[in-house]
Amino acid sequence: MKKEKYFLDELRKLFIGYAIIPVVVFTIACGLVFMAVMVYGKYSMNKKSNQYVASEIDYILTEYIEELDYLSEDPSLFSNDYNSEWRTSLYESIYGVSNNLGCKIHFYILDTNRNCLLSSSDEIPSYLNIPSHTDWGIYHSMNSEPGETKVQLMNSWKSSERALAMGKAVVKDDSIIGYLIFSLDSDQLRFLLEKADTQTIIADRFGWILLSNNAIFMNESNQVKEELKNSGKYISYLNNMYLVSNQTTYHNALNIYTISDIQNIVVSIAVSSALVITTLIGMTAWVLISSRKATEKKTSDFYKILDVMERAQQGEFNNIVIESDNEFRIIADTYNQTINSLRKQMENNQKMAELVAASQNKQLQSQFNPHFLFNTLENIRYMCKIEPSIAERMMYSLSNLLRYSLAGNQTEVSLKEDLAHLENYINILKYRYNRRFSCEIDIAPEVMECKIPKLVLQPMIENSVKYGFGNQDTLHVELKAYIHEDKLIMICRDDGVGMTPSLLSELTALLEQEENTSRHSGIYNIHRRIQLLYGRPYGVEIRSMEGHGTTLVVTLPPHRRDQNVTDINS
Amino acid sequence: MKKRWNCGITALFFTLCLTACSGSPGDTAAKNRSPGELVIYCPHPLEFINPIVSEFEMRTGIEVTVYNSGTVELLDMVENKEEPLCDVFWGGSLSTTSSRNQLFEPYISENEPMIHEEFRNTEGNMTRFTDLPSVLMVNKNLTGDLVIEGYEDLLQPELKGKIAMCSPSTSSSANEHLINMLYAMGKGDPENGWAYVEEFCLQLNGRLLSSSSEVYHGVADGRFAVGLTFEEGASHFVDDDGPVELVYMKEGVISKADSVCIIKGTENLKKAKEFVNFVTGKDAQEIITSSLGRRSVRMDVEEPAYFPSKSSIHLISDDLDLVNDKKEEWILKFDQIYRSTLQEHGGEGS
Repeated sequence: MKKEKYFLDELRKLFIGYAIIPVVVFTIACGLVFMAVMVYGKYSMNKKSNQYVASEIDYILTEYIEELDYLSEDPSLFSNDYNSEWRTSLYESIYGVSNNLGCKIHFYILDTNRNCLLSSSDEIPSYLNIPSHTDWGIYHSMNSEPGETKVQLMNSWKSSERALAMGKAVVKDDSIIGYLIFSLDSDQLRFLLEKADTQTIIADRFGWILLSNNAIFMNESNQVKEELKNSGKYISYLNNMYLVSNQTTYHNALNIYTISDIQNIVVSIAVSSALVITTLIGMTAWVLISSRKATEKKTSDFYKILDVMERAQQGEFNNIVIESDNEFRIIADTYNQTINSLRKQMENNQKMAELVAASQNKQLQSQFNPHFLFNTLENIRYMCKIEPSIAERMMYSLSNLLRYSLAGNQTEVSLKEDLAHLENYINILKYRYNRRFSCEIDIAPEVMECKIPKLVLQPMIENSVKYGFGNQDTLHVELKAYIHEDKLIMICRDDGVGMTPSLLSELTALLEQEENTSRHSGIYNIHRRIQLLYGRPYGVEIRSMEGHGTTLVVTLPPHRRDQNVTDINS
Repeated sequence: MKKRWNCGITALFFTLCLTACSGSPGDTAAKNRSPGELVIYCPHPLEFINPIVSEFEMRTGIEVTVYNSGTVELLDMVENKEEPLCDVFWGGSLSTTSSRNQLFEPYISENEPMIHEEFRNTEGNMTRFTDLPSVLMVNKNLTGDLVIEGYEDLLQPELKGKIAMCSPSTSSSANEHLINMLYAMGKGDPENGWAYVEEFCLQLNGRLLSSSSEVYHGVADGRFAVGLTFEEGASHFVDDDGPVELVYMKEGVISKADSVCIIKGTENLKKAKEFVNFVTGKDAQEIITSSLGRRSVRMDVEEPAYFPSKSSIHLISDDLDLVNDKKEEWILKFDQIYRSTLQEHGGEGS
């Protein structure tokens, strides 16, 4: 069954293998490549924006700290006696830097008691307004390393203002003479965040935020949330996906986080992928079903042809019926023509064979042993002289026998009928041999109606007489018929002299031949006729041993008279 | 054969899905602490916490994570060993924290000699942090001509339903007020104070808040006219010409310290000690008094100029042992009285 559908399966596999699989693979590959390109694009943009902010801040801080260092060298910085010329040059210097950088700072010049000597702003921010005896905030940092510039993120106590303070405790003769502080308001850096469409958080190394345009990763203490701090390049937070770039800037003092929301990209790609995949699944299912139907339909003609051919191998010749008008139709028509002529040919052959068999049968059946006729006639002539009444009965029997052998077209008769005519022959033999010949007939009643070829029994007895007497005085012949293993067995056994092995083998060999060229015609004739009528397994078998008589076994199909026996095997 | 195709396709889909879902190392670390990080549980207001913590981080380089909530809830978290494990419990009035002092590691800070006698760490594991008198916080815009000088004045019918108080079972500042109330109105014997508590609960009109920050924000935002809170919580909203004013109860004010304690079994003991020493150190205590609105426990730090000096306040004291003993009982009793007023009001409020 599996092998029978090989062609169909191959066709479908072809369909799936060359159409569906490439489409599926291509679509998935495209989806992946598309997603990768989108996400990578977003990521590199994110990273670029992160680098931009980091480098800008680094630049701004470096410039301002250079300026702060430059100013702190000025010996009259804490003199508290500033003339307008000095002030002008101070402002000019600072303005020069701010205009160059695009963001402004406030500067504060404080004495050791943290009193403001000079500043660019009217108000001192709360984070600088710390009593002189308290070591806190930027003051603590500056005091801990006098002469060094310190950068620190400053939160004002109560408002949300935040600033980046750069300060230096200026030292002269190993003692602090005052503080110079630049304060960069977080708002001054906002321009950095407005350029890109990413979100950026600028925080110090502990996560305190200086400036941010992202509220999601900011906790209520204004710190970067742990989740962002601990994230790698990617974070999934509150069911949203983000790409994260993170780098430190200005000697690790600040951390820049840049965040891109990729939820939309991922969701839209995922949704479209899901759609495509669903479509593909649907398509695959549809194709699997429809391809089965289509290929089944397309290959049905093919399998019809195959089926008919397989039957032809078993000897059953049928025509192929193809409705569609395609290549298979041409094959079928050609095949049909061939088959038809072949069939005609075979019918002719069979008829011819039958004719030949019939005529051969006829010929064989009519071969009456001339020796027997001659001997019988001689006996009759002799009897006419001594006992004319017996001669007359012998004449009657002989004429009956001759009539029977010549009469009608019947090739088969019932055993009973053939037996009746055998009586004529036995009578003649009894007249001829008188007491020297005896015959015993034992026919099972159920075989009486079996059909046998005409004149089969007579040559069997004749064979016994022919080879049995030899130099013996008497001959006893037994004739039996019965059914054994669904075969009609007829046995003729005599107590005659038997056959010499050479004669037996000669006769056995003769039975195998199709043409009789020898003088032994009786057994050959019945064997040949049986074979012509019923075919191979049937026929005559000779069993004989010198001095122990001869047995003829004739095997026939057990056909009854009422059975319609017409089939003749080809 | 067909099945093998199907398997292949399914495998491809799975690969796709996995690729889409992979690469998420960030979302697991949410509750895990970073190594070496100091975890502090703290009920203080964030405005108070942040400047101190950021200064501590800047000076020591130690990273700090603060978990902010009500005192009782935080103590429960410590007891249940919830993640992230607490290293330092910073804040909460003594009457609340001392009943759970078995949670704390013995430690005497290096600043102990400079602490006022009354705020010494007598237990050995409870360093005092600041001095926190209970106060009434009044929004003058809502009280009009009413005179509010003490607990007695809260019983005025005009104030019914306008008083903000937190449940003593969740907030240590509210519990402090309950104790203050019992001692002040009971004239030294807390059992005599319950008559006042019953009247006071009626004045609440069925509203009891769940966190102490709701009290001071509620008064500052005008949802309530008066709030029962602690000095520092209210002080953030006091402006020179603003409507919010602090009232020290004329019947008597109990000024109790809050504590800063190291949690027993912490893995960051050294850092925790550093933190305790920092917040009780002179710099921090000075900043607390000068800028953050609290009174210091140190002898070398002056009282803040913007608060009335303690000598001008009618100070009373409680019996800490008795308070510790009775704490549960009193909170339960307060709850019962409060609940009975709910029935009278027909379940008004929540």
